This record gives sequence, C-alpha cells and structure tokens, in this order.
Amino acid sequence: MIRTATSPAVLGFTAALLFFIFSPFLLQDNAVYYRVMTMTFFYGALALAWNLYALTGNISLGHAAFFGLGAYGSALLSHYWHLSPWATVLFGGMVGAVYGLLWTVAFGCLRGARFALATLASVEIPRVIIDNWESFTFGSLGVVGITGFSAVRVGSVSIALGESLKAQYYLLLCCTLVILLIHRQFIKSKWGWAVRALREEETAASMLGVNVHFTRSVTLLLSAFLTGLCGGVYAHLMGLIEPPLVFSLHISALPLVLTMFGGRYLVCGPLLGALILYPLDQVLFHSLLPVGHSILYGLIIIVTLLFFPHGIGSWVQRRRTFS
Amino acid sequence: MGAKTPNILLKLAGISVEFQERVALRHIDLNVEQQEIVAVIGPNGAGKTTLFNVICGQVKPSSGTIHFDGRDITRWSSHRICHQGIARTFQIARPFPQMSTRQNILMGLWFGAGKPYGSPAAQARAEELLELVDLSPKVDLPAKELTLSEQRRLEIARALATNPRFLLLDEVAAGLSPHAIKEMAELIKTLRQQGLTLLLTDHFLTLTSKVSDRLVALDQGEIIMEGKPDQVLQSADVISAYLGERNQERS
Amino acid sequence: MVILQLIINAFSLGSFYALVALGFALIFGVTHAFNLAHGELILLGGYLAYTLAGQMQVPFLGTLPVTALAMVIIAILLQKLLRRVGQPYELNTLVVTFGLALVLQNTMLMLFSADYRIIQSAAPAIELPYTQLLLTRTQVILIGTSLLATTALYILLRKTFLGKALRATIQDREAAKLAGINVRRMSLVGFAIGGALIGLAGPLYARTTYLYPSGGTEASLIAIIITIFAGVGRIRGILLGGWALGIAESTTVYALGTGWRELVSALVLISLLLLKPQGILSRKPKAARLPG
Repeated sequence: MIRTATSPAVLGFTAALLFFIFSPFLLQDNAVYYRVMTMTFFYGALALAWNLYALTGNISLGHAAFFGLGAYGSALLSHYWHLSPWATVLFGGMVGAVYGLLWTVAFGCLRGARFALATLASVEIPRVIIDNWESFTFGSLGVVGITGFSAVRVGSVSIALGESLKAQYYLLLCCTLVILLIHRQFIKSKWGWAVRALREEETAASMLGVNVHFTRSVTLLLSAFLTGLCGGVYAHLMGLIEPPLVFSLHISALPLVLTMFGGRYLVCGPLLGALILYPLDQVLFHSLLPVGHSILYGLIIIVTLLFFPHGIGSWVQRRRTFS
Repeated sequence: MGAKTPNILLKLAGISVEFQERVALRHIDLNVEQQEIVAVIGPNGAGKTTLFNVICGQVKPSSGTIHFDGRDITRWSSHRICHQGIARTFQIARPFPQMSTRQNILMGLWFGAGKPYGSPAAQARAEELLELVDLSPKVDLPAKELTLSEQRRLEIARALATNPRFLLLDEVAAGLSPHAIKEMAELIKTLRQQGLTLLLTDHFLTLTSKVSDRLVALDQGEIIMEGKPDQVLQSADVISAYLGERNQERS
Repeated sequence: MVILQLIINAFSLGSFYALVALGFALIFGVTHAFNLAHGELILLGGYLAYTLAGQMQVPFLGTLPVTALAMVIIAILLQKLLRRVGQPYELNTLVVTFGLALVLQNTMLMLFSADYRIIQSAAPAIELPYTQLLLTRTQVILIGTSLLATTALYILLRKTFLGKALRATIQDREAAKLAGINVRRMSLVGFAIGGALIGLAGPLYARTTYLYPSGGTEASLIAIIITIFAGVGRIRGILLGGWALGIAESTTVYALGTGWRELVSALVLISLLLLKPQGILSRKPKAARLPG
C-alpha cells in the first residue's frame, strides 16, 4: 500500500539533486550563486522542520522563538565555553526543544487561530528577556564574532567550512537532505498517519487508539529541536546574531509561506517552495525593489490561500491521491 | 470495588458530570452484561451523548467510577480505552474526510488492532468490513463524498476495525430510511451473535425497541426508568419526558 | 503626585489602546475575521496623516476625516478579499491577513523608509489647576476621541435599527439569518465602520508614538488582547480593557524599565487565551458545549 512516489516525482527529485551536486563544477566561483542557494537550502530546511508540526493541523506563527533560542544557545555556549560549533549547534537544538516542551505544556489544549496567536505572542518572551539580560546575552548589541564551522578533514583533503562558500553550500545541501529524509520518513510512517488522522478528525482518531496528546507533543518537540538546530547553524554561518534578527517575524513567516506555496502535505513541498521563491526573491525582487522586497512573500501567502490552498506541488501529484 | 459478577462487562457507579454550572449527568448507575444490547433513550439534551463521552474518556466525570471487564477505566484517556476493547460511533458521523473509505477503515485496523497499513491481514479484514456494511463499491472514494447514511456505516465499520468487545452506537437510526433501519437491525443482531456487547442511543425509538434487550430512559441527566422495552415505553414518566420535549419544540 | 501623574498617563495610554482595539473588535465580532493586518492599517492611516500634516500643512484634526474615509474604502476592499476565504474561516483569515500585514509592512518601508516618524505637537502641556499635574494636548485629544468613538459605537449598537441587526449578527449568525437579516451586508457594514475606527486611530497613533513600518504587529496584538478581554460585542468592556492594559504596562515600565514593556502584552495575551477564551467580562458562562 505504501508505494514509493510515482516516477515523475522521483525523476524530478533525482534530476534536481544531481543538478545541485554538480552545478558547482560548472559554475566554478560564482559567489552569488553559492550565497543564494546556501540560503535557499537553509530556508528549505527551516520550512521542512516547521511543517512537521503544521502537519498536525496547528499553524505556528512563532517558530522564530525556537530559532532564536537555538541561535543564542549555540552562540553563547560557543562564546563562553569555546566548544566546537558541531557541539554547540546540537545544544542550540536542545534549547529549542526545551522551549517546545513549554509550548506543549502551556498550549496543549489550544487549536486553530488561538494556537496561532499564542505562538505569535510567545516569541516576545525570549526576545525581551535576551534583549534585557545584557550582562549575559549582550542585549541589543547582539553576539558578534561567533566562531565559524571548523575545517573538516576528509582523508587528506581539508574542507574549510568557515571560509569557503562552496563548502558551506554543500554543508547546507547535506543538512537539508537530512531534514528532508526525516520529513519523508515522518510522513510515510505509522507516526505520520497518526498525525494525519488527528489532523483530519481528532476525536475520532483518539477513539481509534491514537494517543493524540503524546503524538502532538513529540511532533512539536521534534519540530522545535530541528528549528533550534537551524538557528545554531545560522549563528555560526553568519558570525553575528542580535534579537531583532533571529526573533523576527520574517523567520516565523517564511516557513509558512514556502510550505503553503510548495504544498503542505507533500514530502518535498516545503523544499519546493523554498527552491522557487527564495531565488525569485533574491534575484528578481531584490534588484527591482531593494527595500521591501519581502512583499513577495506576503503576496504569495494571500494568493496561495485564496486560489490554490494545497500549494503548487498538488498540481504535480493530483492524480494518485487515493491509491 | 471491582465488578463482582463475572458476566458484567461495563459497570458505571455514581457517575456525575458537570459543565460549568450545569449538571449533565447526575449519579448514574448502569450495568451492561456480556452480549447484551442496551439502548439509552431520552429526549434531546437528556445526557445520552454525554454518557457515551464519559464511557469513552472524552469527558471526565466529576464523581463516580467506570469499570470495564473488572478494570477501573474512570480517568483513562480515549486511546487506552479503545485498546481495552471499547469502540464507538458519533452522533454526527466523524470520518477522516480526506481519506478514502478503505483508508478510514485501515486507520482503525492499524491504531486500534495493530494490523499495519500494508499488511495482507489488514487488507483482508478491511474487505470483510466493507462487505459487512455494504460499502465495497465506494472503497476508493474520499469519505467526505459519501452520503450521510454511508458515512454512518463507514463509521461502524471503522469502529469494528479496532476489534472491540463493546460497541457504542450513537443515534444509530438517525437519517436512515425505513429499509436501512431494517438492515441496521439485522447488522446489530449479527454483531451480537459474533460476541459483541452493544450500547445504543436512539432518539426516535424506531430501531431500539426492536433489537434491544433492555431500555434505559434518561431525562435531564437522570435515569428515570429501566427495564424491558415495552415496559419502559408504556411508563408515564417516559411518555411525559418525550411529550414535554415536544411541547417545548413547538413553542 | 508622581503616582497621580502616572495614573493620568496610564489612563490616556489606555484610552489610546481602546481606540486601537475598537475597529478590530467590531470586525471580529460581526464577521469572525481575525484581521492580523489591523495594526498595519492603523500605521498606514498614521503615515497618511503624517504626510498630510507635514507636506500639506493640514491641521491635525483635519486629517481625521480624510484617513477615516480612506480606511473605510480599504476595509471594504479587505472584506471583498476575505469573502473568498474558505474554512476554517478564523484560521484562514488569520493567515491571509498575516500575508497582508507583510505586504503592507513592505509597502510602507518602500514609501516611507524605516525611519522613525511622529507628528510633532507645538502646543504646550496644560497644567491642571491646583495641582502640578500635566496634561498634554495630545492626551486631551486622545481621551476625547476615544470616549467619543466608544460612546458613538455604543449608541449605534444599542439604539439604532442597524445596530440591533449588527448585534444580532454578532450574537448568533445563524439565528440572525433566520430572522431575515442580510448577514453578508452586515459584514460589509461591520468592515466599513471598523475601517472608519481604524482611520481615527491612525493619526492619533502618529501623534502618540513613533511610526515605523514593522510597528504594526504590536498594535494588532493589543487590539486582540483587548477584544478577548472584553468578550465579543461588548463595547464598554473595550474601554475597560484598554485602561487595564494601559495601567499594567505603565506600572511595568515604572517598576522594571521600558525594555520590559513588550513582555506585558505578550504575557497578557497568552494568559487570556489559556484562561479566559470567552472573554473575562462576557456575562454568559461558556455555553455548555456538549462535545461529541
């Protein structure tokens, strides 16, 4: 019954993957390409992590909280204890998950618009605290000079992740593929079906033996952990974070836009949205409208929700929904 | 206090439910024996659905205990109650709207009875259940496109998929044609022969008086009468509870 | 004396908050549309007034009718847009207007840049006789407009035929439909009046606090808080909610410093959502909804 995705989707995915693996050999040192695509993968990963929880039917407008906490957890650990970025990023993910745990305790009974509002407001709590706790977090000055990723030695070749744009491109490609794999396994597994059942009809699902509360909570923890992880990666990649940057509405909104646009219920939907919209924003809109180019995302939300609420990915996969 | 008599499957003792300031159920005592068919009757708002919700763990009682098969399940959550062997349908059918008819049933088989989605066992059982409720031609249709009576039958099949010993059917006869009601009566009798115990509610009494061994009349959250169907239906209290409601509806 | 001055300031801040919330509360009450772009619309009105006052030397009170009219038109357009939204309506309007908020933020960024702007007032503060309490002209206008708008809305809803139809729609859409009320027209009326109220709040926003494109979210949150606090359709409750929030924020700022102010609204909103989803002042206890 669980089929592998039909061949056109697999073909498309393989072609795209091959393209992203080999395109650096053709483009050599095109800095813009690396920068844009690195961030595309990054936002794709963020959208995939966000969608894990959105699949339960609850839309979060507050994932910036996990992201910011992950970024700060990771950056401060690196600043005070000088641990390797690989360890601190993991810690960042855990900080995100801890805040996720608070969400499950506090917002466990909220649904729909109320949940969305509560999450929107809950971003303010860590942001204001970090903003004001200057002795520890440097307040609104932000954390600067965060160490980059250390070089990785593969055999005799040393890859400088800290400096080389090409290396960062591959790093983010790998991160995104890992999260994509998690997202896929999630959707296809028994767990994913439980999530789908409780999304479509929660009471009925619980009466059929789905542990609704547990499923929701663990899904949120996973989503928060991965988002925190992304925050950590961001901190070490950028070298600088400040509260308005990592706790911004932009960080909460983008995963929503990309996922809605790409297709919420598809394995590759969120990533597809990122691959189309982020380059479009950076290459086209950014040059047309240097300030206010994010207007694109607002327009996309409105148009998507009004005209094709299942996202553009649903056009590709319309046929075999009920196999 | 456990269930003493071995053949009592469900035992409610002193169950009360309060919503805010309103009392929905007041001190309900009810025993259901193995393989018995009991129907709860009563006008709208008498507390029938609340009674079902309490048994299934969707509403927590403010006092009282529920024992199922000798085990205290009073504060258990719904999924554990399901795994004990209790299944239900809802007053207004609640299928998974985007899933196909077959997928709906497979969900019950997977989460309730532990038969994995792709397994031959699940497939075979799903076909059986679809046959039983006469939905075989509609297997691949999304549940939201079924008619209301089909959705009800789907819900029964899905509940049966969890392999229950005890089945609660809420408003079994609502929206069914006279012919369909006859079929439903047959189905209920078949299920009992297969070893199930059933608790029904029915607003219109059309079906329940035919199939059930015992009627329990509920009014304003209290049991006002309990006994053989014809006995209960002739009781003055029950009649006035129904007539009273009809008067209210007219005004 | 410091305390009294503090209370006056809190009172005027609270009146301002009530004004910010009025439009949201009416639109939400009548249509159940969760307009997350509410704050951005107020900012837009503020920028419009700022431009009028700065470049065309329109006197401040003269900007109010202009912005009110402009916002009525925008609100009606918004109603046409939101009519197309599918179920679940509350959540979907929330997401659509979230998108609209992003669009408006970026439009304002393009038109007015990210600089902080405020409509300056040259008039000196008034000293209340026999005390040393100061009341600025802005505060006077604020309290005046807020009380006036609330009273007008209250009278409209309580005393007029249109108001009765609106209230019926707020209380029970289905019943209103059965009683022959054109619910769709009521939603248009709700949006139009709500738009006018947003248009009133805009210029006052520009005079009370600094305008900057991303400042709208906070205004939306404030509107939502007060609406939930008051309970749907309770106009006097909005005034009370505004004052309560104004006092809570002023006290926090006085005790902890300005940096912590934003935490107050976030915490209040979360606690309201968790504890009193039907509104603190709503008279009816939550109608015993029988689940299942």
